[in-house]
Amino acid sequence: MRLLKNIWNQFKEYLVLIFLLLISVVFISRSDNASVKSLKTTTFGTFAFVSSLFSDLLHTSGLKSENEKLRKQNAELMLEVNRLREFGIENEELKNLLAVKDSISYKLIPAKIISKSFSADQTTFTLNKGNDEGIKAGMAVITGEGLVGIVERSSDDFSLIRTLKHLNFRLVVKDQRSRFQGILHWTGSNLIISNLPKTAEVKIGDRIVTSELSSLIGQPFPIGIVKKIINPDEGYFNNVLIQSFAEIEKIENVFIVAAIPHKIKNSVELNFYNTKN
Amino acid sequence: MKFDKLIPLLLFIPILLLQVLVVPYLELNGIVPDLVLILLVFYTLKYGQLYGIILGFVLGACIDFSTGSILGSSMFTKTLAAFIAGYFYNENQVGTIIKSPLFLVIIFLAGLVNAVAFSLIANFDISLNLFSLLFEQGILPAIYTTVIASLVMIFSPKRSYI
Repeated sequence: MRLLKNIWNQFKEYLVLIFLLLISVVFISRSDNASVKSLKTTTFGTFAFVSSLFSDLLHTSGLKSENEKLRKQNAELMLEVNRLREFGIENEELKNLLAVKDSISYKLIPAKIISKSFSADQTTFTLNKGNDEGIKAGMAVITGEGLVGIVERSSDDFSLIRTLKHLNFRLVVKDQRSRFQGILHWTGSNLIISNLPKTAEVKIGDRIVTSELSSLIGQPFPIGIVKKIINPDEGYFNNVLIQSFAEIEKIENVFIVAAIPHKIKNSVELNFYNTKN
Repeated sequence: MKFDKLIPLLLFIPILLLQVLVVPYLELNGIVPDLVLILLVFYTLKYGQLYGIILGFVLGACIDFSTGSILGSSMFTKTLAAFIAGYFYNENQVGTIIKSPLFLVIIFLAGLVNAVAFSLIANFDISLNLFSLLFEQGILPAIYTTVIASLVMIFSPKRSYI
């Protein structure tokens, strides 16, 4: 007993440190647990409410309604232009199939960013709209320039957005010109499409859009352009550096695309957003 | 005395609000200062290493639960940062360290450990570039936090209220 007491007195800082670090590691490994997610949603909603009270004091916006209207129009035009690009490319390749392609209409929900959590690895935004406005996890978040991220979770009045600059963000994308597909992710300092075959026809300046194959975002939203192709001497794959259209650090207002595509597909496929929280 | 030790928890809420509402306007190429770390180091140097470790864990948990960061990541990094800062705790020099340039050195070291540990936890599945990890994701955020801490030191009142 005395020995234990001596050990405690001599090494208590180390023992407490190891104990608390172990607890942290347990939390890291269990962060996708349903009860933990539920607790996170509650605490996030509470903090977002407090943030929103102060956010309005900081963000003075003149001509608010007109701005909102113009931004919405801008975002709709961006989507329209993007759709037309898609149709143009498909028209060349598949003229006979163009006639049966469905028309898609998007309902856009305008939202304001009330707080930002910045770190090199995990940038998230809190929006002032939530479940009450019909926002659900998995919905795409855009600006007039392009895709910003997806809704990670939402409380009644607020939503948390996982931006492109988040290590846990993975998205199937394609080169709009050559139609090559790849998985886009954030490395902590760059947006990269990794493990693209060296035979893939990708050029600097090519537009990258979301792929219809994505189980998260099934519509072609613009993401960015190819900035650099990293072509290692060894191996069979290239990495492609992407410059995003949306300036993540400077965004203040966004639109949530109120549609979760692939609803039918999702019901038969494994999709982590469909797992019960 | 016991109540004094709860003050950082009360200060944490307005500081976290500043972190998510105001600090984003200070971002430089995606790098932002960490105000919570300054609070943590300050109180670790005031009350000791053990207190700092526990405070770091509690503040980290609050950050993880109220923002979108990976649960456990801030708990881990803030606990570790407080442990490093705690090495400089000296019972007889509490007031002098906090007001001396050494305080900024400690902030830098704790910030570096905090940022590098955070990147390691979040980046464990990719091939790490050591330069990027140390410089872009470690040293730069630590320097920025130190600069803000120095401004806080310069403009804080001479008489201590906290």
